[in-house]
Amino acid sequence: MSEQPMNDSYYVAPVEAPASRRPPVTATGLIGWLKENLFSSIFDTIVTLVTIALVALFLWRFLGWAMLEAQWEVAFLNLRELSVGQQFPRDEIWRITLIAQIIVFLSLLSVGVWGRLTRSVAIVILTIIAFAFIVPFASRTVPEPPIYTFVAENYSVRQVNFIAQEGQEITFTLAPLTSPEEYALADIDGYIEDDNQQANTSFDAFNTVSRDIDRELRDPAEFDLNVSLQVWNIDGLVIEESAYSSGSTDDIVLEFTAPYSGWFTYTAVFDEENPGTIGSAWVIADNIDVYRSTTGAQLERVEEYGEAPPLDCPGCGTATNRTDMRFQGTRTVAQWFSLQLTPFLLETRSMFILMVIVGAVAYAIGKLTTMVGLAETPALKATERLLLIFSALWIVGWLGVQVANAANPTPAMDTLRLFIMASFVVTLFIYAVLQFSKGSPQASSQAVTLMWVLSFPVVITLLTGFTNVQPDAPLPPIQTGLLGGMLLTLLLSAVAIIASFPIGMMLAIGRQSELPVVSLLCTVFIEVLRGVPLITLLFMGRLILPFFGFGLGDVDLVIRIMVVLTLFTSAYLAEVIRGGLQIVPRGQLEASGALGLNGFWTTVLIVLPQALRAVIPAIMGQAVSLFKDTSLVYIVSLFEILGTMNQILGDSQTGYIAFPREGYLFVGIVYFVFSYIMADVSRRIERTGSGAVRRDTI
Amino acid sequence: MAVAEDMGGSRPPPKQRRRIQLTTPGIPWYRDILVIRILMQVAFVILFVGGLGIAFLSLAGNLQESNLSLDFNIYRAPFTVAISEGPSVTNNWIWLNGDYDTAIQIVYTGIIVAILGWVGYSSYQQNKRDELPITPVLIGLLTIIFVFIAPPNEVPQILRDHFFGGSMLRAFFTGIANTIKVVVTSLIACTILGILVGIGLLSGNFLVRGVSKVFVEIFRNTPLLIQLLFIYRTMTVLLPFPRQSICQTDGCTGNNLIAMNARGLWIVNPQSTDTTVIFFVAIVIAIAVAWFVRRSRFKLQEETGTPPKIVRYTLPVLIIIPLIGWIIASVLNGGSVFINDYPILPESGPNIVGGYQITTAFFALFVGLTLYTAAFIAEIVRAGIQAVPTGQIEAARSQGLNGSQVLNLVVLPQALRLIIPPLGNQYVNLGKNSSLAIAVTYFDTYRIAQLANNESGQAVPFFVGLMAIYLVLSVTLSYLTNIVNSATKVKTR
Repeated sequence: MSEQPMNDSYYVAPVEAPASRRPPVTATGLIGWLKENLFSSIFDTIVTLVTIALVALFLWRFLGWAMLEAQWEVAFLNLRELSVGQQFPRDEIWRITLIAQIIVFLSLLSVGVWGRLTRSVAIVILTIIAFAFIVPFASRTVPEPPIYTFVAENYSVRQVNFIAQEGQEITFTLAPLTSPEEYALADIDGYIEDDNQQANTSFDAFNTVSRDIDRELRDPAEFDLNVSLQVWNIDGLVIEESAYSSGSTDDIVLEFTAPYSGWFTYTAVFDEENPGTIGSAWVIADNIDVYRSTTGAQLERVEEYGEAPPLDCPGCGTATNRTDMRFQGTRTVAQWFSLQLTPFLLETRSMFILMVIVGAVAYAIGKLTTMVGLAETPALKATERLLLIFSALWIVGWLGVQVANAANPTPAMDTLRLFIMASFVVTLFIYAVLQFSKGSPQASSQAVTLMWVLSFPVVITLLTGFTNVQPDAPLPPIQTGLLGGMLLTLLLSAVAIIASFPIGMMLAIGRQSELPVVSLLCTVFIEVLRGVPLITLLFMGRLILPFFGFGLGDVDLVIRIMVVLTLFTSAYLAEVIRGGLQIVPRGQLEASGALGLNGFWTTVLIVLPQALRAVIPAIMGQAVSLFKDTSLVYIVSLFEILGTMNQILGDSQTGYIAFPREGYLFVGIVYFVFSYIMADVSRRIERTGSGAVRRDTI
Repeated sequence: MAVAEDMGGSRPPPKQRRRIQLTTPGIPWYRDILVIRILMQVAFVILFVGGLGIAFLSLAGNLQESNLSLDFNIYRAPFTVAISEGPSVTNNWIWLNGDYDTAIQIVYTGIIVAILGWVGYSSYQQNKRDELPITPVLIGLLTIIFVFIAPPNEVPQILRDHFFGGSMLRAFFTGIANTIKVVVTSLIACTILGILVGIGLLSGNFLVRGVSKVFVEIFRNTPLLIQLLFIYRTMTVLLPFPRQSICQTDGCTGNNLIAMNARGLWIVNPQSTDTTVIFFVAIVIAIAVAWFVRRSRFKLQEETGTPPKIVRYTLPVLIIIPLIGWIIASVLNGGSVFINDYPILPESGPNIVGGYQITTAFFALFVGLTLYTAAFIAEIVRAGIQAVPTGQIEAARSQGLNGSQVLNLVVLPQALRLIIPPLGNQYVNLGKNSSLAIAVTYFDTYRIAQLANNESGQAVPFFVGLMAIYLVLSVTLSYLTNIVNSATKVKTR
């Protein structure tokens, strides 16, 4: 550095930069962020405070309801129905599980080969797994709420099965209701409900009595029942019994210590000779485990303690085998965790973890194939060719068996068909694995595509099954009418979006056609379908299509609705694709014409690849919209997930009719999760630039 | 000048009338592309019409076998389900009463216009020509000729016997009125809410932005049907039975301004008296005067540069003149301008009487449609505003414009042009989505059609009616948006 000139008339920059000063505290860190984002002006401060107040109020009310009052049983006790429908045969559910695993496997494999999993997704999955283990573990420390059963004159005394561990001490109390205040407590702290509408009768009886008291038709202080408490063992013998109440309004307490681990039954019995004339009471059982009535919990119970003992109620008409004991009424937050969240997590946990494992394995394979690989040898090449020839032979064999089976079905054909199907899949699978082991991205990519294509016949076969001669042959057919729940929702969406793609593409090209007739007809088709609501078309599919003849009346409703949804989507898709066709510059068409390509090849080789790539996000948006629209099929009485929920809610036997909010909210959350993920994927694709042009075709 | 001359000089050559040639000379006709094209199209038409014809004949035959008819006489059959909501279409309408000829023409024309108009209109939109839309104009002319000029006697007998005088038709009109009611109300509400949320999405306030984002994501990503069911069932679960209605007076027996129970919401319904018209005239005068004041203030601003201060000058006018009208009207009528029809819960009786009832079904549908469509509109508004370059906003700021001026004078005029076309799509969607009223038992067109079908079992005529009605609705909404669009478009010439 040279010597600085000392001249007053110039400003000379100092050699060293001035010491950096920290920005004021109010502009950095948390305070700075708050100031900038929440309190930047007086108006802003007011808005912030009002928003905080409103959000807090909403969350307080909503969470309070969701955790303390809502009965989420309507969702988690019916998970099977909601996922596959009420009529789906139980023995065949494994097929649906298998299909789900196949799709998870292939999806994650594709992600492994073509892209990468973002860290946030992994964190979310790990959090859910941690949650699924911690919550059930922690909720064991929450004491079970007491179980209430109602006793009144002219009302059958309730029997309840329960499980106790050896040495467990249980207190039963018969508490007569002697003051109007006790009846005024409409929100009882808990009562039981079982399979057979007993809770409704119990509550009807309670309501009748309390209404009589309201109208001063009876005095609650009168209590004249002659009741005693009994505990039976699994053989139906009374092993513990209290004294009769003999008209006294004092509580009767029965202390019971379980002599063995297993099933017991408790009840309150009237004295046969002198049952008493008036009064009502609670039987309160404390320190009993509340049964989980989820399928998994029931199986677990049966495995450990055997089947529940049959109830032979002395003097009451309906002796029911209660396998189900639910806690209802208001509760604490701890009880929400133990009674509502835990059963849900226990029910879904194993399936979820299986999916995570399958997905992780697939992802690892996908990642590995792009990194390491075998050298290509002549032997490898020969094996590949051999496998391809084999699979071609399998197809010929398959067709032969189909023809033979159509002519003369025999039991041997059933097995043979299954065998050919399986070995065809195995052959191509080995081929795909060989492709993977090459380690080149192109080969892996082709193999993934091959496996997706391969999964199609497998999934369809698993879903529909074979018309077998033998009744107990594997993969019996499942009628499409039996499908329901989430399965039907996804099936309808998948079929409609896939099948509508070629139709939509043809319509889009047809509308752009130079031939006026073709253009006009395509336009009419597209615009009429876009101009009317979907449910009008569903109405047509349900009521009018059968009358067109051509055997359409015999076609199942599910198939007809699939066709309607496909046509509807294809009209929208056509408009989306047309948007893409318009972005291809005219110069390219002229250039391809100059190169000697005719109209067909210009469209296939030049226009479509660019057009389709440009509209990928819009197509995804269409898929989301279609996925949401499948909920409308419930109006034409197909039971997809919303229809199934409506069936469950409308079933007077189960008593879920009072909980529509919980039911619809649950279905809404399921729809939200799926749609949000699809929309998010679409946004990501858009951001990476795969979709070159964005058009707001809604 | 030089530029103008250049432009004048390079005028395109005058158009030559191209002679229509059906064949290319020198090529045998069977290999000529022009001929092949025409033949292909003819074959296409024959194939299409033939297919349609076969399907239609098959449909007609099958319907006849099932003892159902294809004819529209079914619209005359009585409709026996009680419709609890909507205007009652009375016999006062002449053309419902017996003047079949005109009525038939109107309805048949309506159907044809609906389909042709929709097609023509959308092909017009597709091409985005700035010329006069020829197809809609042609269709309009045809309609006028068909309805007003064609003598009624020339309507074929087969048409004259169909369609009118029946109660099912009247039920349909009630349904249409109900559909229009819910579409118009929620259209207004969802626009306002959507714009607010859309601005909220761009707010500098983190909380407001977050809440808007959550709102949009929730309502966009769940099916409307579930939202409707949830809202409707929540209301019926949470609100009390009619005998325990919520209102201001004790026990609801007094004059309530507002009352509420699970069946609906009742508000006071002011009935006009003999002198009410004076009050309304006063309001009209006030608006007219205010408009003149506003114009003169703007003129003054142009001439002298004085700030217009519109609010300060027009607000007094808008308050004082109606007030005078109110006072005159009440003095003339002895103290009251309106007679209030209050909702009252009678001592005995199932439900509240009097007042204007907003049924739970309508309210649920209105709220559901509004929230769902508002979520989409919010995203459109956000995208439109974000499309305005930030540099312009900064430039406007540095010119000294304040926040609302930047929004009103710089951002919105540009953003609106981008917002309005997709907004029109949303309005059409809203109109179509209103058919989900069936989930909340609101008597809209679709529900009436389904009830009519349940009664008669004749799906086809009702299906055709439904298609026509919804096509007309879509066309109307789309056309209205387009009018607004062309009004806000940049005028280039």
